[in-house]
Amino acid sequence: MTTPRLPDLPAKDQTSWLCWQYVLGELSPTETASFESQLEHDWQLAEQVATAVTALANLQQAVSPAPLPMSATVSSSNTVHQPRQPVSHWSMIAALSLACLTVGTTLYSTSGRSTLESPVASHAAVRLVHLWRDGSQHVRPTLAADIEDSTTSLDVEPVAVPSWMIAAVSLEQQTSNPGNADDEWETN
Amino acid sequence: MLQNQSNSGGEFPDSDVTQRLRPTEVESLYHQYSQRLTAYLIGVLKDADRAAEALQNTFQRVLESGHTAQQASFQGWIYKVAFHEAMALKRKIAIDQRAQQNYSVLQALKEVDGSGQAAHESQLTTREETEKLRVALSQLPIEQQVVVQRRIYHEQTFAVIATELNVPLGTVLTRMRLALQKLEKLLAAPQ
Repeated sequence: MTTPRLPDLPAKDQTSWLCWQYVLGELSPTETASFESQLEHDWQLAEQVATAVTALANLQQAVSPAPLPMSATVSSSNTVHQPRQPVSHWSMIAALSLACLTVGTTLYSTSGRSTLESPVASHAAVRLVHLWRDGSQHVRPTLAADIEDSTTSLDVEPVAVPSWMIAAVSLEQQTSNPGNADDEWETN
Repeated sequence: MLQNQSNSGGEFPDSDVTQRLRPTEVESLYHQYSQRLTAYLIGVLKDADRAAEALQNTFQRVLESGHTAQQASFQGWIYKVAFHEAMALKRKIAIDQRAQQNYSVLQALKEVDGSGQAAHESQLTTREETEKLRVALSQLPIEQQVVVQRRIYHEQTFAVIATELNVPLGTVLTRMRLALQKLEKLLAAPQ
């Protein structure tokens, strides 16, 4: 077993860290024996062990059962890509289908009016954005694996709305080239 | 004779050294110490059932000879007794050839806490503390969150985490230590 050491720590922190390592089973057998010989005579150390276990119990409850997270510092060549969840694929297919349906419906119902002015089209666009957001949440942990910058927070990452979605509510664009949505999606 | 000095450990029955503690007094001590001792024994034994057994044996000792302990040092005394009971069980486990099993505190805590509602009905966790930690965890830098989640939820060793993340072991340790330091401070802070 590799014995983790952080020799530069102050004594108090070193003891606390040692307790955590003991509790997590990260000490070597020799170090465990040495630590336990201290435990026998030092009830305050025993208290620290109890504190670490209690904190660990809370942490276990607090840590959400998310897919195995990758560090943001892992280079893309070393990135282990998690298999994408089928549900996200279906969400995207549904989004694409809905986009096509929306384009068709919009073209039919607006007949010359600007789609952006149509409340029906606006509502459909809002639904599309929501659908896209829901779908992207499913794949977000997977996307985290591709993040290069270690300081990037996943929580603040804006929802990326693909341009085909915007195209779906643009009458002129869709009229000139109705197949654009799919083309755009492929390039994304 | 038991000394009546103030004790940071809390109440201690006012008994005579020549008389055993009354069951009601032992019960009071049980309420006072059992939670912390359970956590301690899980830390030492890394097994919930063994920890429960060691706790029971510890209070058997309290019943038999708790009256000989001095009030001022009772906390130290009971931790020492608990330690000896834990070590006795460890030896027994080794003799039973069951030491080959991989005992883990995380596994033991799962057995104690179960999941969902049951977790908060146990003595070791509280909904408030868990919620505080959840918030605190989300505020940690992402690289620290990754290490905490891998070590505590996925139960990977630091060495495995370092290998999989392609970072030095020291980096993983530092991230974990810094995360724990922040979380400990938060837990210690008054409500």
